[in-house]
Amino acid sequence: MALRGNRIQPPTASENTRLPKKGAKASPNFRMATNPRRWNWNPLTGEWLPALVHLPWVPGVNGGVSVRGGGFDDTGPRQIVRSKGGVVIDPWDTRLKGKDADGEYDFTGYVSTLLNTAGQKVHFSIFEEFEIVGNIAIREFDQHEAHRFARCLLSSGMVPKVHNGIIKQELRKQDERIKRKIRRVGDNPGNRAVASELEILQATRHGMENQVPLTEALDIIRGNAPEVDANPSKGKRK
Amino acid sequence: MAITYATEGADLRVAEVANPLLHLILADLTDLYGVGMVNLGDGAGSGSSTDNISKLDLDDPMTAPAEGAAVSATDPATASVQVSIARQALRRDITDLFAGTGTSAMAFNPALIAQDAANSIVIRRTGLVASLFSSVSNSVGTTTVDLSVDDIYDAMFQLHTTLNQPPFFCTLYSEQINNFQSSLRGEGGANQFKAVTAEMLSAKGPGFVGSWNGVDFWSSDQVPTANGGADSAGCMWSMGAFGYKEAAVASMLQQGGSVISSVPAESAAWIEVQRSPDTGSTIYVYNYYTGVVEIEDDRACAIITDR
Repeated sequence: MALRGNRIQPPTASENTRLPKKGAKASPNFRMATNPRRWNWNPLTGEWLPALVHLPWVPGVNGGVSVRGGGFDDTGPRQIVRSKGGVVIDPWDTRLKGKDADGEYDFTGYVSTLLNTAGQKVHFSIFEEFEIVGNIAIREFDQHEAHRFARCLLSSGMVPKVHNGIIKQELRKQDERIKRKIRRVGDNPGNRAVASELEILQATRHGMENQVPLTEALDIIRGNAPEVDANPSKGKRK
Repeated sequence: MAITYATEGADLRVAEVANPLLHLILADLTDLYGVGMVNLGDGAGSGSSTDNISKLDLDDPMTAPAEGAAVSATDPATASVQVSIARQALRRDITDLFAGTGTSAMAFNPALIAQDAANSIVIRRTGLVASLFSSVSNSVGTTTVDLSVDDIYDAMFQLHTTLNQPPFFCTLYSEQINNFQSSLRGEGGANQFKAVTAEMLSAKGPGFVGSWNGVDFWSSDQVPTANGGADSAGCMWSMGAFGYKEAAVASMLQQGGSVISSVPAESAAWIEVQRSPDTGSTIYVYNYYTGVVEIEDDRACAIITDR
């Protein structure tokens, strides 16, 4: 039987290319996790999505221990997340595959790695990609896919929906911001930029409370909000 | 005819020589082990690489029982976290050809190796501490929105709400610091940022960027990402939020003759040199034993804003 060797193949671009160290420092391996107290309100859709915590998966951090032969004992980090009522999202969890309005998705193996020019591993999520321009790495982020990922955690039942109490807490924080901004509007009644910031804050609060997109909330606020005087003069206040 | 650089110089001069200056490229040498961190002691000779840190809640008020009534017993709440020591290391291999062809200006000399080792430790320590920021439960800021003064106020209010006492420490990603200072420009009144001075730098070390409303601010390029990479997870905390442990194992290794006796016994880090005659090189290995842990969640507040 004749034996033939393997022909040498040209290296792929990703094998050849290393990220410039200055723009892409070595970063530790991580797992995504959620925390029942941390949620993001999505202004595009008006929905509450779980905030994605990047949990370090490194020996020496939060009780993580290296195992002989290169493994990692993750009991400590998992315990920290559990003690806060959170969930560690394992990259191989089959519930990360599915279908939504945009089509099929597969978020398994959501941690990517590339080497930088110093030969160190840079860990990042699959929602990030790098473009090398000159001697720097420019990072791009796919927000749409990250939102799909967070939404999939809810639809698959991996993470329970946001608690009303958390929404109330976030609304209280937003109220504080609005109060501070109202004071600034009062100090600068002719400043359209500050007035506009106040309007956005008020619309955001409305969107958070009623789970409607920011644009819709803005329309509602504009219909109801008191008018801010663009050209105030002495003694004239609306 | 004259002897010129252009002609005779081709044989009698060299193309370029090493300038006595060895310029070190910019590096972030912020050391967060000295910033509001609890030192959990020395793990050497303790019987385990992992320590259990017990937590006890003594926040129970007295009650007023009726006259003659027995007081029922109240147990304090307890909890615990674990901190594990892990080996951190960096290796530099230097070939004899490289070392032997160097002039004094080019040498990878002991002073430079010591500085290299010290830098590697500082950068690693800060990376370990910063990695703890991601999983803090309290958080302020808005995803994909630039950090503003409001976010810093929110973090301070959050820490006050959870019973924390100043001083507060805050470490942000460089872009977050820029956004904060940009937002401060729009603020009026007494909200002035006290920028860092030479005296402050010498007292607080590299990475310190200034104080504002009693909060000390540090900048680090090792602040982790959050929300899949959209945001940076900076953090404000008070003393007791995070802790570190080191292990001065050098003395144990000296007993076994593994480490040369010139390493101070209390060292948690040291440099070892190994000859590799078969490859014609010298190997320098910097070893350091440490671990970090989040001790109490309520003493910290993550600041999650656009990266």
